[in-house]
Amino acid sequence: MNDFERLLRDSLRRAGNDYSPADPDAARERFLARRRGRRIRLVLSGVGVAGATAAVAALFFLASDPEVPEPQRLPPAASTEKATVTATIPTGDEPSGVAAGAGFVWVANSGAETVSQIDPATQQVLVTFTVRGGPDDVAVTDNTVWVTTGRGALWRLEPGDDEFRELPDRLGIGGISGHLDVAAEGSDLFVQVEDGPLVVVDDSAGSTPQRYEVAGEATDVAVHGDVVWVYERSEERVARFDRATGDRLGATPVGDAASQDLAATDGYGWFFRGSDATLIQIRAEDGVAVSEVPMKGSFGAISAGADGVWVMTASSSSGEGNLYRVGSDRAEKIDAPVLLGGLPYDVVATPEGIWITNHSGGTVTRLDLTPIDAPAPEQAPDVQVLFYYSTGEDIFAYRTDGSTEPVAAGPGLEMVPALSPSGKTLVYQEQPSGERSRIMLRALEDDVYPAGTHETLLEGEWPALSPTGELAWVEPGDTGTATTIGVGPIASEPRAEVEVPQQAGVPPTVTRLTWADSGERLLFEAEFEDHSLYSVEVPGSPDEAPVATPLPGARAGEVLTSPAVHPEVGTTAIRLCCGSYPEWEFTSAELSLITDDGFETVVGLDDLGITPGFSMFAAPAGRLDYEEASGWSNGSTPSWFVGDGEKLFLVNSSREPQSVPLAGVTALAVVPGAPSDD
Amino acid sequence: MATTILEGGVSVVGRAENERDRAIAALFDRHYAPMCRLAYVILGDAGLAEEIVMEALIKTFSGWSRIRDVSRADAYLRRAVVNLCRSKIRRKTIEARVNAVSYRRAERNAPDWDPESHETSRLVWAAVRGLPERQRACVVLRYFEDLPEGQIADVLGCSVGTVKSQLSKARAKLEKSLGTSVIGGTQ
Repeated sequence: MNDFERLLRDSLRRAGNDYSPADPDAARERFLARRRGRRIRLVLSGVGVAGATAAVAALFFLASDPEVPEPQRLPPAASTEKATVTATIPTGDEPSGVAAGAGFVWVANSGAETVSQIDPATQQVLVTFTVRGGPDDVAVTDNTVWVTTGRGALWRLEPGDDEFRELPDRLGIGGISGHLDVAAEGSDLFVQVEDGPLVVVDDSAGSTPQRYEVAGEATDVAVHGDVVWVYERSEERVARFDRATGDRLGATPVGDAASQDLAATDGYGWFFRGSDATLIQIRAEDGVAVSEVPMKGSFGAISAGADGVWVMTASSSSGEGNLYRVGSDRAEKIDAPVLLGGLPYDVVATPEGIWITNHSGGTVTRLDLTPIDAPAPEQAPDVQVLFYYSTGEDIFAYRTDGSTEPVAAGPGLEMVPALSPSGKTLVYQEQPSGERSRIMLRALEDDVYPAGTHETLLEGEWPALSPTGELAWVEPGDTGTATTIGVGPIASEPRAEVEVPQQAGVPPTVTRLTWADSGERLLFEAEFEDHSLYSVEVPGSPDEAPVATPLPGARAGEVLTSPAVHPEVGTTAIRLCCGSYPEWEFTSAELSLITDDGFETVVGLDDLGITPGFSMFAAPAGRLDYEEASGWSNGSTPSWFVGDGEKLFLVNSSREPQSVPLAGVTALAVVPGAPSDD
Repeated sequence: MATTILEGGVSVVGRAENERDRAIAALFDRHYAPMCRLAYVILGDAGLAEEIVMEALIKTFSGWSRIRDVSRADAYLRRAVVNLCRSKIRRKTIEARVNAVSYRRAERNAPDWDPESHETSRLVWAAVRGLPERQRACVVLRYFEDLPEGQIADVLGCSVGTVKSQLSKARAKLEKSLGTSVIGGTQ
């Protein structure tokens, strides 16, 4: 105990000793009287609690917060996929706009004054059409390919035509020549005349175009579903219109863009702001800017994809391109930089690949995505190391010969070691003195991260790595109570966040986070006055909100703790019996498999000499086996490490628990594949 | 209908109840004042502390027949008191703000730091009462009740690792808020 701790002790004892409760005799009488009458009062208070609960629920309903939240900053994480150039196709001078439709990829070659029709199956240019006036953008409706030119003209190619034809009066749009931006969906072509009107043309009806009343000088248009999006440049905002009626729905400030692009997907509009290379995601429902994704580059183009948007950015000086994939709550930078054959200019995503025009190279590039080779889990990094463990203050590696060496042993607390699927990356929780808990990464081998990598990832607690290497962590709370779980690739902002349900308005403390074997489900323990285990399906789609649901409950008087997933067995928990808040009077413990129907006992834990309690943990240990005489080996039965923060055992269902000669272990991560058969 | 067993003309059930009442009264006498002090140090409110201890006693000893190990009655009671205090803190955020304000006011007018002085003790205690409920409970159980981390984990129903983490956070906050450099170089 240091001087500061002594000061704490003396101050608190002085406070306690300076006080004496008033009239203990009267209190005793009240206590005995109340105890005798408690049954009656319990019934009455039950009514009171029900009434109070209803009142609280009503207040909560009335007090829902109408404030607009700040956009979430969503820095892109490194993707697990890389882009590979699978074709580079010459199209003509200065290829500009690119679009997909009618089974083909269409490229407007501004300098060559042509439009190229490409078959994505063969990656060959089938036809080259002449379009005078510098074709710069292209869009495809159900029956027509539309091309705009730098001189403000509109050209169309209809089925059966063998050439593009210019519309003499721009389909009645009128006005002087000026840049046109086009967007297409179904049979509708939306044309935004720069600093002029927005019109919609039905390619099958040939009717007089419908006009939308945009405000200010508008330059860009996008459409999806019921909503049409327009960038009103002079007002520095993105406006939304009802597609059916043309009614203005609202507008969202997006700032000065310098250069920009606009796209739309289910429920969202996406605006690329070139001034600071930021993608802004706007919710169609209410116009709220829900996220901002900072990117690299000075120029960008967006293409709507199946589950989000693709963003290509470029540096106008180097001609180097970057490719991003952004969903509603996840942003990835595809293995970059993507070196293209000239200034990247426009992008379109198709099922057959990502197509990017190279303005100065005279080509269009097709990119396909392939997974970045992941290290095989069976390649154990160091067969000499069996596991990493925390004593609650430092993290050590444990070797087959029984020796240990410190891996993370700073002046603060290092806890909760977690290993990547390959076993080559260790993440853990560090609590430096005077600072908040943070999650650290240390490269154990050098082929995933640079040699010697040891860095802070983010603030948080209880890190867990999924079978695919995705990180989950408990986000730090403002009041010391952490109640939110973040999920995302390493070194990213969370792509999903799980709010843990409260009990009677009281937030829990979330602990013991772990992934299920599939990498799609999380388990954790929530400490209220009581304890509960929860399961969370982590959605693949950004539109789905993750929801925590309680694991099947234990029987009355039982409490489940320390959820874990053994790859060969399934989800387990330590089942403590019997007690209830506040009198947890546990006398027995067992490791139980959680099944659809309840529980199956894996192994009883009563003979370990551990007092059953919440300090117990069970960590999957593969098939590790241990005997004091012969040491460590691969066994034939799935096994677990079980401890209570003081003693540690290796247990399985086929033999007596083996005491492991380590003291004070509070958490543990086993190296995949250890020990080696070699 | 219940059967009354007479033993020497005295109801066995009645005798057992009387004995139990006496035992419970004895337990009350033994634990009431220490538990009130524990609650008072956590909450800083005498009236509330006594109210909570009364509630804890009722809860604990109404389940008397379920307590198998009477020697651990103090452990059950301590757990109930601490958890009721924590619940009270969570539900009384306004009160916590008042504590924080009064602490800050005291800090601005802090006299010379003397570990032996009542004023220093009062400020340290006020800073402890400004901690989040779990950290506050950990600190009081560790430094007032002098419990080892394993027993604190048992009382709070959490792991030893959580206790270590909470104590570390609490000390860091206290050192920062109190300013260790002015506490006579206590580090």
